[in-house]
Amino acid sequence: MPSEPDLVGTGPWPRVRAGLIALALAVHACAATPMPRPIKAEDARTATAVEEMKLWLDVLASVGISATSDQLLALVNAVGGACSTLKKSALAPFQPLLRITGTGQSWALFAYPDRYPNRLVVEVRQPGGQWETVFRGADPEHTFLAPQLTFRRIRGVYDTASSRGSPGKVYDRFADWVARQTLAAQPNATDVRIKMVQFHVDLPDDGPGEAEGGASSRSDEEKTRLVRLRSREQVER
Amino acid sequence: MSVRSPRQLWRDWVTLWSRTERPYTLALLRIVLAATVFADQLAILQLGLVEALWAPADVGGIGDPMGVVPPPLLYRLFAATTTTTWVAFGLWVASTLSFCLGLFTRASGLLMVLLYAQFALILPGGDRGIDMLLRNTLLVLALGASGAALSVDARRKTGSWLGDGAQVPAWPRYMLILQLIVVYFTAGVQKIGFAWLPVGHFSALYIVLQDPAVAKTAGMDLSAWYGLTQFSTATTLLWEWSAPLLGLAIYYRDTRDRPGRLRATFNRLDFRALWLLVGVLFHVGIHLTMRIGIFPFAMMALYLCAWHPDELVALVRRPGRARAA
Repeated sequence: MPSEPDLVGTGPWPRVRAGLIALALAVHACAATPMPRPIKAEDARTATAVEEMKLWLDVLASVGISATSDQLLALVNAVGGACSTLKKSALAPFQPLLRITGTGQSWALFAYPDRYPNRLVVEVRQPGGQWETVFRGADPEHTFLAPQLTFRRIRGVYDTASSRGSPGKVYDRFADWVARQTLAAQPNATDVRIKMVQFHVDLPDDGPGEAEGGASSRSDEEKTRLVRLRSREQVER
Repeated sequence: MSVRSPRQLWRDWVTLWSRTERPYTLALLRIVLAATVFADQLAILQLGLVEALWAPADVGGIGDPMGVVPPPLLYRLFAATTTTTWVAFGLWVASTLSFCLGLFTRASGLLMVLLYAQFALILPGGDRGIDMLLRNTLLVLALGASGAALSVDARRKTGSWLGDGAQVPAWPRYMLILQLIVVYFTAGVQKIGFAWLPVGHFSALYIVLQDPAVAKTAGMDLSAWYGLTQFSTATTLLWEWSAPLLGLAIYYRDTRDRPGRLRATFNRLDFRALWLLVGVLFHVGIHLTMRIGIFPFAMMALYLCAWHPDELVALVRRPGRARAA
């Protein structure tokens, strides 16, 4: 491997290219720089956010700084808002190019592991009125539509939506799509119910008050949320 | 050490980005990364998800492209129908395959990236981090000379699939090395959730492996493996934070004839290979325990950028001599 570089290009091109590369690196360095962001009030109320906030308050208290969660949230939003504005302003001239090429730098991968994950459940109502589970996340007994629902792009839709304080309209359209697929495959079913079942992940070293003796991986308490009901009439309309 | 003037620094900068090398690493990256995208496209087709993911909402899509401000160019230039969706998807697949084969490499690469970006705009929730990373890298490869070897273009122009051995600009490979470092390093420094830290008992991976949306292990009692998940959490964090050392290791290999004990140590240990080996173990572990599609494969494919083309040539000619190259 040569230590002395072979060079390419003559005339102004090498300098132009080096300048363009410097500009591209500067833009992407700005996009990649991790900065705090403001937190929406509804997102601050999610179980994970509340738990993280409590832990931060405990850490601050341990070094003699006392604050309430509202005060800390206000501080995060003030700093995060300023940083976010600064970053947006710096990137604004390049945003059209980043948008058309779909490029950027955002790599917060599993930054906040969710101790309150959601399990997607799909149920159908049979003509007799009883509900029957056809899909349940990570349950080998209920796997209808599992290849599609666990595919990374579809999973991204409902997993992202359900981890927010408000899931947005995309979750409703996802429910519409699941209902169409389910009712097409279940000609006798009258309704479809799509929901998220939220549970708490207990740690083996949690205190006795937090885990069930430390032997179980999870608490038995579950919370049903984001229920969407679709009837056959609605779907066929 | 003498202080360099701004003029000298600029000259160094121009020299760095004007360096050349043989095109084999770029060509291999083009093939494996485009093949990864192609595999994802086949999965989408096989699962029957083209319309669900990218058709307009009023004809059954989960996304709402016409609600985006401004709407994606695809549905501004052409009618917002499923026909447009299918034609765009077909063009995306064809351009990906064409780029992979090195047929009209630059044009097909640019078309592939632009269509990929349109699909990201239609349903942002269905576009994951790995998709953005693939667009970043594929755009660099399309703009560089990744079609100068192992391609139909090389065969047409030189009569050989390997091309004529001419040197091509090395800057795309340098940019991909930077990209790799940025991905891991910024992912590491943003892991500030308590579960990643000692105060959270390094419980992050234990928690992630219980998530039914992503984990193959969800529903299993993992308490017997807690210690291993804690060790893996701490290792992951340290490894990601150390990503800039990969850049240093590659630089030291490139300047191996210069003095310095640290340089000599890095090269003797082959720190680059060790660091990337940890990465391979990390991604194999992710693939075995989690359901996140092409992510581990695309990341590991990108590791190729850490190898100078001369090393790849040495590896093919005399595998035993590759380390010495």
